[in-house]
Amino acid sequence: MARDELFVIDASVLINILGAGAPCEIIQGVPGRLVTTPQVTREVRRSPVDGIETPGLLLPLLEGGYLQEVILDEAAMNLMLELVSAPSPDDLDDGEASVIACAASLGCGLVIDERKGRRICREQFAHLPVLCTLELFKACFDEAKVEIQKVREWIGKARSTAKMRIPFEHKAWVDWILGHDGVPVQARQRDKGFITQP
Amino acid sequence: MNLVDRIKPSELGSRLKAARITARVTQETAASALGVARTTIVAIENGDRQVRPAELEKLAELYGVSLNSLLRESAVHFDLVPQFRRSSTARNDQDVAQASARELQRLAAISVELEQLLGIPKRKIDLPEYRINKISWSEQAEDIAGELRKRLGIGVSPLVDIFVMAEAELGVRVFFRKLPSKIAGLFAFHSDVGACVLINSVHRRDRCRWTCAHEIAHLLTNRDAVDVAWLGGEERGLDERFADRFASALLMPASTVRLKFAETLEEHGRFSPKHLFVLSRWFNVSMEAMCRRLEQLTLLQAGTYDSLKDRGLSVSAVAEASGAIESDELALSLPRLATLAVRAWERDLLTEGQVCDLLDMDRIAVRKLFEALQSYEESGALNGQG
Repeated sequence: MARDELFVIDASVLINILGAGAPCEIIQGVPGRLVTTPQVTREVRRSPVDGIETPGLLLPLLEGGYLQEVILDEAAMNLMLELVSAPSPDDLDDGEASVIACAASLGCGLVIDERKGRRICREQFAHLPVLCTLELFKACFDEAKVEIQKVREWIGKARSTAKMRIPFEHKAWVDWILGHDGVPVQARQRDKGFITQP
Repeated sequence: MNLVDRIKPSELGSRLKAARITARVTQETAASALGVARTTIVAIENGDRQVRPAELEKLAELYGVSLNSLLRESAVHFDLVPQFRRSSTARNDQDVAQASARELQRLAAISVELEQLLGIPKRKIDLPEYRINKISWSEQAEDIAGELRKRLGIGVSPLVDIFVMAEAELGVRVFFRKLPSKIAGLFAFHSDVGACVLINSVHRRDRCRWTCAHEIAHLLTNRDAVDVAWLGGEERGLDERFADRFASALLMPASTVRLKFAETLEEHGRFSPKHLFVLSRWFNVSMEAMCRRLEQLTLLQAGTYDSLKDRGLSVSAVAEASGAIESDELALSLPRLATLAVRAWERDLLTEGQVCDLLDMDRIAVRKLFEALQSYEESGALNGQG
């Protein structure tokens, strides 16, 4: 992920970021630039995270300028309507459709966890880069050099609070980060250039 | 995008109208939101004027529905509410009855949509329909309940789970939702959906069972007429009295009640409120239902329950004296709808957001549901061999 590379994030991803407990820090830690759509924030506002009403969690992100809402222009709106009204099983929910339409219109990448949404992207918008939540955390760790302990906490909280799912292809990396693979945590930190004091 | 290519204006218009009515928004308010005249809304809802994309988005937000739910091909739309509007059982509380009817309609539509998505064949109802005999309706109710038990091969023992029986054996779609407490349940039948029943989940479980049994009576005697089952109050018509008697007989078969009553007398020499409580637990009915059944079968004097109540009968006090814990906790859910939704999601037929929309749940609740139902799958099939 290049610095300032633009990505549009979906509701499923935003919920994971909120559930991780440090949304501003995470978004700042991502090398690229993240935006979303009003359709996504509207949807996320309806889902309390960890018993907390999400408007309270979202507000610092939006007002602090960490996450910008991009309003769809007419062409993007038309594309969104096509996506929500596509013949089953290719129709999408409003949030995902808006994110794909926005990314297609801006010619940028998107971050989406949903298998069905990712399939539609592969089939119809193969030129758009697609990431998932875990790849954002990975970018924070690999490229932005966020401390492993922090990333571990984010993933742990996103799992427990937001019930973030771990795609199979990322399981090995998650096991490594969380220390489930048997490699001592200190050794892992040394590998990445972190030196722990005894 | 030309919306006409995807969906006929008349179809979209009627979906918009249904969404507006459900959201209790007037045409004036909708017109004001779009900055158009009320006649424009009328024209849109009649399909005479194509709604523009920007207008559609504003209306969807105003009505609290997603664009996907308005536009998706697989969405099932039919209207049960007019039947309730016309029904005398809606009584004076039209608003309450119609709001509940809309909820039943929504749940039934979701259920059908999920089945269609998953390729599950439409259920057939292969049950006789009877005409209520005005003279011997009470004996008839007993007979029909007995015939149903025989047909289902369930003997005369207490029913283990009437909700599962109604779904699995009778093809009834059973839903639970919090409704105003004066409504016990609703019944409707539609050719696209079959029979569907909505039960008030704020009521005690034994009350819910009774309501289910009561609504099954309507399926067997007058399935083209909708029913709203109210709690208590005024004089009940023949259909309602029949349905109550049927429920009584289905849940508490006469022969078994007589047998258990006789056993109690033989063992204890008398029949006290404590025994009434125990018997009600055995049949999974309320103490009132049990007592009234005993009165019906002339095993107790008519008016016994009213007399007990006047003397201050307290169910919890009796339970405590019996050493039983009476729980009001109701842990009902929508297991079948949830299971269908998870299956559709697992097969990538629905997104997480679409499941949230269909089940009217937030994202985290839906993720918890996925985890719970998937964990049953991952634990593998039960092996009958040792």
